[in-house]
Amino acid sequence: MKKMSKVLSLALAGIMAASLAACGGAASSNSGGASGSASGSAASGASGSAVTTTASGASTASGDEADADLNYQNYDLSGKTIGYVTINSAAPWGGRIGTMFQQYAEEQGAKVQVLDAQADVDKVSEYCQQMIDANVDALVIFGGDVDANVEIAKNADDAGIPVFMAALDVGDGGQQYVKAVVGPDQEKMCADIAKYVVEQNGTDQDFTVAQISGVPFLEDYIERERGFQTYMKDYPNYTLLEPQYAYSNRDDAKGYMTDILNSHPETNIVMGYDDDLTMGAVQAIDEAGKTGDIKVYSLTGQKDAIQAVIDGKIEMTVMNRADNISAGLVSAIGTYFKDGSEPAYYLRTPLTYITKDNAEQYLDQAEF
Amino acid sequence: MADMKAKKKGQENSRWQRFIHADGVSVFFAMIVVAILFEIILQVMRGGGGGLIFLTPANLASILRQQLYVGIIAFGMTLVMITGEIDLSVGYQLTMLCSICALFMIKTNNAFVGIVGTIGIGILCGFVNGWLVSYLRLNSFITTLGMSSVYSALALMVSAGTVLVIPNDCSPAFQWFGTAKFGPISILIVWFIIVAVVLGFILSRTVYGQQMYIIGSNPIAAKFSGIHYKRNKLIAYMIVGACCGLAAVVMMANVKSSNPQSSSGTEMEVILCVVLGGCAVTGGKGSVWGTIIGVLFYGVLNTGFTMMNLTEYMRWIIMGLIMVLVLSMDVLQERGVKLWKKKA
Repeated sequence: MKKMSKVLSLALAGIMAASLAACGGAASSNSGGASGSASGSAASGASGSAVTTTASGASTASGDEADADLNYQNYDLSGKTIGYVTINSAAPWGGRIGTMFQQYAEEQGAKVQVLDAQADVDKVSEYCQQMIDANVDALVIFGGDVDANVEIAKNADDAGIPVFMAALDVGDGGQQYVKAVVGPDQEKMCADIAKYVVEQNGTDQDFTVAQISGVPFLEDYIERERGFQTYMKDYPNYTLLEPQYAYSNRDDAKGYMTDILNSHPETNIVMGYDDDLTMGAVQAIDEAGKTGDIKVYSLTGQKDAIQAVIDGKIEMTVMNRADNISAGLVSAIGTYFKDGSEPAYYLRTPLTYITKDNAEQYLDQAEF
Repeated sequence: MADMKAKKKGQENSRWQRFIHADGVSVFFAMIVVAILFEIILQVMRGGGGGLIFLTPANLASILRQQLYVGIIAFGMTLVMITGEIDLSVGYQLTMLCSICALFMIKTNNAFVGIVGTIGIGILCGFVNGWLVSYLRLNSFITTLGMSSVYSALALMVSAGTVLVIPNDCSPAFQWFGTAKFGPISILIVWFIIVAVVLGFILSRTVYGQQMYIIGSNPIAAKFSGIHYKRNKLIAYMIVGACCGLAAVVMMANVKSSNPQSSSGTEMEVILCVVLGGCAVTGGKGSVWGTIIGVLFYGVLNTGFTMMNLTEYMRWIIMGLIMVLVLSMDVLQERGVKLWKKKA
């Protein structure tokens, strides 16, 4: 029995190690990400000025893409039951999309049923199927596995239920079953930031770029990293270090940055894929006495990050308001129910590129 | 004379035997080997010649600092696990307590409210967990798993689902809790040492501590020998709650930002460190010393991988393999399997 208990101990410890590996040792798996974006032209010139608010669609609109209508009050959803399935309502930015969507939709007369998969990707599919079985009038999906969402969208379409995606697209082949994707083009936003980095720093000298990211298998972060890294591939003088994943923990981000400064003291640029985590890196840089020597770029538009832009600790952050996505979703659903017309497939919400030049005016506009 | 020499040699052998059979010793040696390996690999990567990279005092202090929160909670968890129970709610407890602490500071900017209130609520959480487990005799695995859901929801309610940022100009007394320095030593390391010493003393030098081992190794004997096993377990849970509260206060005083899902998953890290330190999940075995080794070993691996610039997935694979290897060595050694046989 004693031996057996030891074997069990080992087995449990092994499972724990494996679980830890699966969880990355920190936060829960799929949050909804912490921020998002929309496309739009970033930037400015090498001077680092002239970064302005843009509605993404304005610069990139095509037949499949347009600006999201943020005036949700113009649409009547009385008598409609809308199912909203979220990967994780605990993530601040992703959670706020759901909260505000429910509020706006209910203001317009809809009844909203919310199911939270609590970071379990499989549960997103399960809950969506429950919504389909309940025969809701429309289904909104935020997060989950992009490929699994294709099947769900198809099932909903077969049942005559229109599907709308919040912030993230479905996987390839699923677009035909989805009415619209409301939100940012995460990849393009980060490519824009990369463009700004190159414009601001030039191509004459060598740079080492540290990357602080969130959750490695969450689509938001995957798209953001892809956008930044793909653009940077054309500039060999920028050496990108492997992204360090702090999940949602600012202290972990701070720790990773400290380690990077110890092992790669030549680091002179930091790309943070989420303001909350970037602020951890900023603290580590401060403590190492390297503020000003290292240029930091980020996104989300969190209040203390905007303050850090004012203080000269961050070069640029990009504000992407979650409530714009919520409003855009209500409008898109309202448009569909109004006359059966389908909105453009990609409905882009506005972005604000914030640098020292305009940071003061956005300080009070941050959502959190 | 010869007798004395033999006796002295016997004592030395006995000390050595005690040392190598202490909790977490194989992990301790593994940690040293791994740390040296990291230094060699980093030197090779950099081309050598630039002095130490991994084994610098600054980096070692940084490892300790990064493991502080996990370490403080792991010390409390050691007590609970020695009794044969577990607390799976510590991750969400920490998340909730961080949110509460941030909210207290945002609303009152009063260090006393922020610190005492947060630790007090942590003790209350521990009391609830402990009461359910010891007095209602509910299974600790299921109970604390369920309670973690409650704490997660409370964290969301307290923070309204958003990031709570404590202003930079908040109470200096509160900031002192997480940012003070004593010469080159950060207060974070001081907290780590204080909690380790206090709980280590309780476990090894008090009647309460000795009773915890008996409760864990033979609960029936503990019951019939008049040990207040229910009360003792309850106190262990309250201690781990207090540790969560302290970790939350120190974290908030240091980073000043609470995310409603920031520390979820910490429970696995904590349990892994405790188990790595030689604590048996079945109870009756473990020590704060062992847990310190477990915490440090985990920190060494984490920091080493970051410094080696490994991809996230490669990091998971290597971390998992090393953990299983080290734990296997420990268990095999306990079973009496000789890993290295002396040559005849």
